[in-house]
Amino acid sequence: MSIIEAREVVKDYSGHRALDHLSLSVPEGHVYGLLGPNGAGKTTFIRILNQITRPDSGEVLLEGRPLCPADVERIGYLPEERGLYKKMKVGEEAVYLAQLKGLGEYEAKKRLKEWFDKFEISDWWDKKVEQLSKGMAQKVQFIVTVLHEPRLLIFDEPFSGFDPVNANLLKREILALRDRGATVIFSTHNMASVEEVCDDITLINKSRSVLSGSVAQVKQMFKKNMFSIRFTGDAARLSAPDSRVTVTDLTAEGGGVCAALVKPAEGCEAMTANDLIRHLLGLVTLVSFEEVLPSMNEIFIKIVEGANEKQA
Amino acid sequence: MSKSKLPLIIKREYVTRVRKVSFIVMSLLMPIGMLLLMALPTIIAMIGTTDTSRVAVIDRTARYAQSLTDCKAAAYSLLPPDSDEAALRTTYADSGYDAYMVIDGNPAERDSVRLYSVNTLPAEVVSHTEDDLKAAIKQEMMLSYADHTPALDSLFTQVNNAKARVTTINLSEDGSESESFAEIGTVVSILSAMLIYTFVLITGSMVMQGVMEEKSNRIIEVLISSVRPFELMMGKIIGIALVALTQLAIWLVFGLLAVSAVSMFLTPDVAAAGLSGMGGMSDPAVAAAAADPSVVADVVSRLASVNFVQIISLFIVYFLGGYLLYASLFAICGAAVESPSDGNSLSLIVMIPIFAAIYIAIHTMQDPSSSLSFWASIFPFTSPIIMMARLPFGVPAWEIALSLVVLVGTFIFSTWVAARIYRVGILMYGKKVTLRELAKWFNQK
Repeated sequence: MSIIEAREVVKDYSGHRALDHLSLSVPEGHVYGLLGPNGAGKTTFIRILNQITRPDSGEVLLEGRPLCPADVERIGYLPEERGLYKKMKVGEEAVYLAQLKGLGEYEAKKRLKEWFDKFEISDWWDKKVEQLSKGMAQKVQFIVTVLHEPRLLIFDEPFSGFDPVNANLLKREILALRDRGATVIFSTHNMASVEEVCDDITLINKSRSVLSGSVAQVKQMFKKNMFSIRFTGDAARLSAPDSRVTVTDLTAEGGGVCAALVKPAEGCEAMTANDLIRHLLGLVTLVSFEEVLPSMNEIFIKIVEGANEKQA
Repeated sequence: MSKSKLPLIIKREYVTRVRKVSFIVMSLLMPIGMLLLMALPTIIAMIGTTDTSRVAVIDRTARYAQSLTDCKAAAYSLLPPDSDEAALRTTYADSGYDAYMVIDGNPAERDSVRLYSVNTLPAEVVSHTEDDLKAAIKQEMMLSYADHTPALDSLFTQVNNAKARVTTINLSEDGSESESFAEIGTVVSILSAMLIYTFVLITGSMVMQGVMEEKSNRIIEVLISSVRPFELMMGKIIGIALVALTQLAIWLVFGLLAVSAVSMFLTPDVAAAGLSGMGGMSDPAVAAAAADPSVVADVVSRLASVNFVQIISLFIVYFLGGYLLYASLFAICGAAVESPSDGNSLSLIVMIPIFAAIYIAIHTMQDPSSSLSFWASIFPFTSPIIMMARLPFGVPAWEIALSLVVLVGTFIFSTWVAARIYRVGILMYGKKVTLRELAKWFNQK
C-alpha cells in the first residue's frame, strides 16, 4: 500500500518547468529518499505535498484520495529553510506551532514536556528562541515537526546545520518513527545518510524522475560485477594469461594476506559469483570474498553527470 | 475539513504585541500627554481672564449687537453699523481696543461673525460672545414663531440646537489675516486627523514588519504547511487591528477619567481652596478667575459643542477602514522583500498618499467644504484622514456613507490583490522586486 501516489505531476514557474511529469509512489512505513542535485525540483514536489503550491496538472493522492486541506494535520514537515519566531519563548512557540497542526493546548503541552525531557532540553522552556544556538533551535523544530504524530513526515535536508552527535540523534529518531508506523520522505543530497536510513529512493534530475526503487535494487542495477577478495598465495597468478579475471587495487596486508578487487575479464562477463569463486580457488587461497556494490554517491554522480554530458 | 486556525493566529499576533514593553509604555504615556494637552487650554483661559478684553463691534445687521453684555472677560463698544472696517483695522489698537468684531449676517452661519485681533483672545471672550449671540438668535427664533407656531417639541429642539459661531481671525502686524485655531472644532479636526494618520502609519508598518519577520526568519514555510497563507495574512492584520483598538480603548478610558478629574478639580470651591492653599497665589484676580464657574462652563460647553460620540465612533470606523486598506498594501511590501532595509523604498510608495492626506487635512481644516476637501474625503486612500478633519465642521450623512462604501469596497479589493501576491512573495528569496515581478506573482496560479 502506498501512502503517497504522484501521477504525472507538472509544475511550471514562469517559463521554467520545475516538475516534468513526475510520477512516484511512496510505500507506507518506509523511509523514502528524494534525491537530486540543487534545483532538480525536490522542494517544489515537497511543497506540493504540503499544499503550499498546487500542481499545474497531474495529481497527488494521499492514501488513495486527492490531497485536501485537512491533510496538513496528518503531515509533519521540516523544511530546508526553517526558522522560528525569535522573540517568543521556546515553550510557548512550540505550543503555538503544535496548535496550528491541530493539537489542543493541553495535549500539546503534555507531549512537548515528554519530548523536551527526552532530548534533555526541559530547561529551555522559558528561554527566548533568540538565545538558542542553531543546533538547539533545530532540535525544537524537529520536535514540533513530529509532535502531532503525523502519518507522513517530510524532512527537507534535515541534517544541514546539525553537529554529528545531534545528526545521529535525529537519524535514530527518524528510524524510530518509521518503526512506529510513520512514513518518512527524506530529501537530501547527503548520500551517506541515504544509505543509512532510506529504504527506497527516487532520483530527480532536471525536473524528471530518472531512477526509482529500493536502495538494494538500485545498487544491484548499478553494480559493476566487482568483488573484493582477500587471499594468500601467488598474486601474479591472478594476472596470468590464463586468468579469467581482471585485477585492480592489489595491496599486501601483511602476514602473506593480499587484498584486491576483481571482476570477470573481457569476454567472460557471464560469470556468476560462484563461477568466479571456483576459478579463483584454482589460482589462490581465498580468505574472503565479497561483492562490491556501488555507493549511492557513485550512482548519483554517475547519473547526474551522465545526464549533463548527454546534454552537452 | 479542519477548523479554522484564524483565531489562533490572531491570538498570537495580539498577545505577543500587547505584552511588549513598548505597548505598555505607549498606553500609559499617551494619556499623560493628552491630560496635559487638555489641561492647557483651561490654564490658558484662566490666565487670560485676568484682563478684560475691549472689543469694538460693527453690527451691519443692527440686530444682534444689542444682546452683547459686558462681563469680566469682555467689554463691548458698539460702533455705528456703517462704520469703515478697513479704517478700524488700522486704528482699533490705537483707540484702546484689544479686538474688533464684524457681524454681517445671522451668527448661526459660518463666517458671518468675525473677531479680529493681533493677539489671540482668551477662549472665554469667544465663548461669552457666542453665548450672547446665541441668546439673540434664540430670541429671534421665538419671535418668528409668533405667527406660525410649530409643535412644541420641535420648537424646543430647534431653539435648543441654535448655535452662534464666531470666527476668530488673527491679524499679523502688517494687517494680513489668518484664521486662528482657537475654535474647538478646528482643534478636534486636526487632532483626529493626526491621530488616524499616526495610527494607520504605525499599525501599517507593524503589519509589514510582521510579514517581513516571518519571511526573513524562515518560519514562513513551517507556518504555511499548517495554515493557508490567506489565514496567516488576515490573522496578522486582524490581530494588529485589535492591538490598535486596545490601545485606543485604554486612551479613551484614561481620557474620560482625566476629563472628569479636571472638571471635578475645577468646581469653584475646590479650585479656589486649592489655589488659595498654594502659597503666593493670593492675587485675587487669579483666584476670582479660577473661582468663576464660567471658565469651567466655557471649556465644558465648548467641548460639548462637538459631537464626540459621532466623532469617536466614526474615528473607529475610518481607522479600521483605512487600516485594512493600508495593511493589505503593507503586507505586500513585507512579502516582497527580505530585509528591513529593502522594505523602505517599496513602503514609501504606499505611504505617499498618507503623507499627502495630512497636507490636504491642513487645507481641509481651513476650508472643510472645498471641492478638494470633498473629493479627498471620498477617495479611499485619503478619506479616513480627510473625513476626520471635516467631521467637526459637519458633513452630510450621504457623503459619509459614500466615502465609507468606497473605502470598504477598496479594501476588500486590495486585500484580495494582496493575498494573491503575498502567497507567492513570502516564498521568494533572492529576487529583485519590481512592479512587473509583483504582477507576475499576482498572476501565478
